[in-house]
Amino acid sequence: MPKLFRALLKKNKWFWDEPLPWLEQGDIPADPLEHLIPNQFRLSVYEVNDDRSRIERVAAAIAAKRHGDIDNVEFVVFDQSILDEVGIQIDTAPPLGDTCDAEVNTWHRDMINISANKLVAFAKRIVPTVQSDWVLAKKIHEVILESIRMSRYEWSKVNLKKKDELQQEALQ
Amino acid sequence: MSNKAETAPRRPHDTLINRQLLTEADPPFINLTDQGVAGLAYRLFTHISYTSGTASDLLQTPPETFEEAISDFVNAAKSVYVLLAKTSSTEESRSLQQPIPETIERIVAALFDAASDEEFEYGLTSQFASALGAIVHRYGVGGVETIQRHIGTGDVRVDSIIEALHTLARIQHTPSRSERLLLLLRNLFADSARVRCGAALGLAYLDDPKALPFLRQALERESSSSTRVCFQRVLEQLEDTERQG
Repeated sequence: MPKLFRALLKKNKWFWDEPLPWLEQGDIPADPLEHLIPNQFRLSVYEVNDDRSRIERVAAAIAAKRHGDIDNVEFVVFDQSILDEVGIQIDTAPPLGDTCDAEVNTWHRDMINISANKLVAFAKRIVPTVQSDWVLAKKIHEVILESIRMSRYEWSKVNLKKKDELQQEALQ
Repeated sequence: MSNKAETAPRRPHDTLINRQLLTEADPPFINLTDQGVAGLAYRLFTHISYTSGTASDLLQTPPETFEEAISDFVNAAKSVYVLLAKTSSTEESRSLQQPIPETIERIVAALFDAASDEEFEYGLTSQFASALGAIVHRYGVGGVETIQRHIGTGDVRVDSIIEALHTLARIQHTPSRSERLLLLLRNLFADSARVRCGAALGLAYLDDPKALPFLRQALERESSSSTRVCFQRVLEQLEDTERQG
């Protein structure tokens, strides 16, 4: 079964400090749901399998789209079979991703027709069992430089503040 | 579409802000060339104004954007600076150059308080981070120590502590580097698993292999599986950095 990648934008919101005495058995805190807010009933993910280099490519492409500095990308990777368990479908012909890396865009998938009940069921399934992971800023920097050298990036979609310096660094 | 910027009346800040600054916001510590400090001072100022109930006249027309707020504030601060330059004695002038510890404490406390509802995202420099950076550049080691003390009070939101750790790690300020490294190492053993992870991510920004023995020790002790993943990633990076010399 394919593995799916979901980036987490807010810092350190996926896990929490135990214990939360008010939390009922089998329930989860609501904060991690911030990372799972659908748009037009869809949630954007990338198919990465267990391939770390592919995860790093996706993370770097997402980081390059940001308007600030190169930074860590925090993410979760989960098995697509979880979606079957909670009744969420994957679009078989999704729109391409919108990153600067054309190949990464072909790995884009959309979870579709997401209702509130399905979203909560999905969150309750993955939040307690799937740990967040990071591609650190230093690695992101390396992958972006490599991608520039290999002409993988559509440069107009790179929004980083220091994109010109990066381009010069890559070409040195 | 309405354009509030065009229709809003000007705020009567020339007098009121100046009076507030002179009594509350410690204008001697405002670096007029530093937007970060100006932003910090504005936040401090508005915080004090709101909590003391004196903001009703002044802030009845809030600025449209934070940049506008800073701009307004800088203009007002310049007026204060000119006023001070004209009227202050030599003794007062000297005091402008010397930070007063209680003042830094007060600024740091107000800053953390003002950040209590700010959201922090990867890749974006928060207002809180800009202000913390300005404190370190302005007050150096003393600024770092004050932030450490404040974090240690146990009365600070975990998200703000994590943002502070990340910010302190990313600042380009050589004189305080050792203190900032120490602060991150201490927080590898904090009570909160999220703070421990935040400290490790801070060490990744610093990318200093000197942290390796402490990180290994922290990993051995770590009980949170999420924080273990975090430690492991940082460990891999620092070991790689060490190998590359």
